[in-house]
Amino acid sequence: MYIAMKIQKEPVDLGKSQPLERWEQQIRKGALEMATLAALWSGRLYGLEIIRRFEDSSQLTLAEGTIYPILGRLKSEGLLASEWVEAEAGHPRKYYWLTGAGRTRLQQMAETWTEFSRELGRLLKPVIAAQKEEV
Amino acid sequence: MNPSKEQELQIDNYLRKLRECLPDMSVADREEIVREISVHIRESAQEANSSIEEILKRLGSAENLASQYGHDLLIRHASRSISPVLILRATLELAKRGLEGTVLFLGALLGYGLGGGLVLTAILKPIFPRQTGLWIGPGVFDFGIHEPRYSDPVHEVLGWWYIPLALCLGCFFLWLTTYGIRRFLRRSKQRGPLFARGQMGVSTNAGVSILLTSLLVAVVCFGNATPSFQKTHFSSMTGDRVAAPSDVGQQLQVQIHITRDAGGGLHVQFVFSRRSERGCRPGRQDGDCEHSTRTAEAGESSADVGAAAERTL
Repeated sequence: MYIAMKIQKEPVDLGKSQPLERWEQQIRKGALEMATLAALWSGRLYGLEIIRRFEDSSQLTLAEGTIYPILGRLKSEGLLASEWVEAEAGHPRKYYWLTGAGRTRLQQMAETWTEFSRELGRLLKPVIAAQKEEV
Repeated sequence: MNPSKEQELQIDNYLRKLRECLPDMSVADREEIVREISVHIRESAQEANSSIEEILKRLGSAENLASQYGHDLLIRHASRSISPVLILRATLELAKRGLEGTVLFLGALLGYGLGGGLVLTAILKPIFPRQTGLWIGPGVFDFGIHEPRYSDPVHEVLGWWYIPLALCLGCFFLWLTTYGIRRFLRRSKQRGPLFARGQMGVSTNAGVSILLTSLLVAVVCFGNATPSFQKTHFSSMTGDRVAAPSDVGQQLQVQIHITRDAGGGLHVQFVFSRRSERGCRPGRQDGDCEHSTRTAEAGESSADVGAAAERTL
């Protein structure tokens, strides 16, 4: 997760090549399902809240509409549950929360991701060191 | 900020388009999606510095949003279905997203083509008994339905046993393709979000396996057909070079021998064989075949030689 966040926090370089942009997009998309589950780890949230949480904590920018089909799919896989709740002021909101299966899946994902990013970080260490020296 | 009338119209238009573009699903599911998106737009509009145009832009076009629901739904349905049409549609959708999807789609196409083709030939065997079967001979392994084109020593070996065998094999290929694709779709569904390009990793093996198996079977079954037959059939011919045989009329077969004499001159010899119903092997004299050999004279065209040989036979 750390690597993904770091990538997201980098300012967008307008001079980036198209393949690099596409690769970044793939990484974001790849992490989105896990990020959605992770956003719900601490409690129930509705769609807009999840999007705002991404913006605040990880700058995981995305077309906002992308999150709703993902929530629907995770729900159909039994990883999330949902409920419409009447808000005091305004519109009813559809809240999502993790099911038992969702929590287990997220823990497995987090384990795999941590291991993967650690190994990748080890591999990239000389590259990052060389970059620092250049600076 | 509450939306103005004009903004309300914009929202309604967006939601109407979304409703229209959403795939086949129950009315309740469709309305729940539209309701959720509607709430998103209205809640976002209440935040400071948010115009409806910006909110809709951030949300993405209604068509694009609906298609994301559509992809997920299609793949979800296909992963539980045994309908080849639905499975092919799902794999075609994946094919648009990357190489792995394309491989999967081709594998599905080949698997279903092979399985369906075998079942079809089994059904057609009673109607076209002589044209349908399995022909085996030196360098030949050919099955299916086509005009009889083989002669001794290539024979149709299965007879009426072709029907149960082709049915079993056809059903096996249909099952293998359906099972393989469904397994792939289920695994992918569990693994990756929206089947993003380049994320099909491990389960690609299932698609690749299906494709390779189907290709292998297709090559074994169809790859050794006519060309090998001709090669084997005429490899025993004498002469410096033997040109490929061709047909003159429907029954007359001609081979062209080109030989070089000691003085370096070229001799072109035409061997004509009239095939009987069972067929004949050129160069062999038996009751089923009639042969006529002619050497071309200087300035004589092959058509002239052929016409003369046909008259002789």
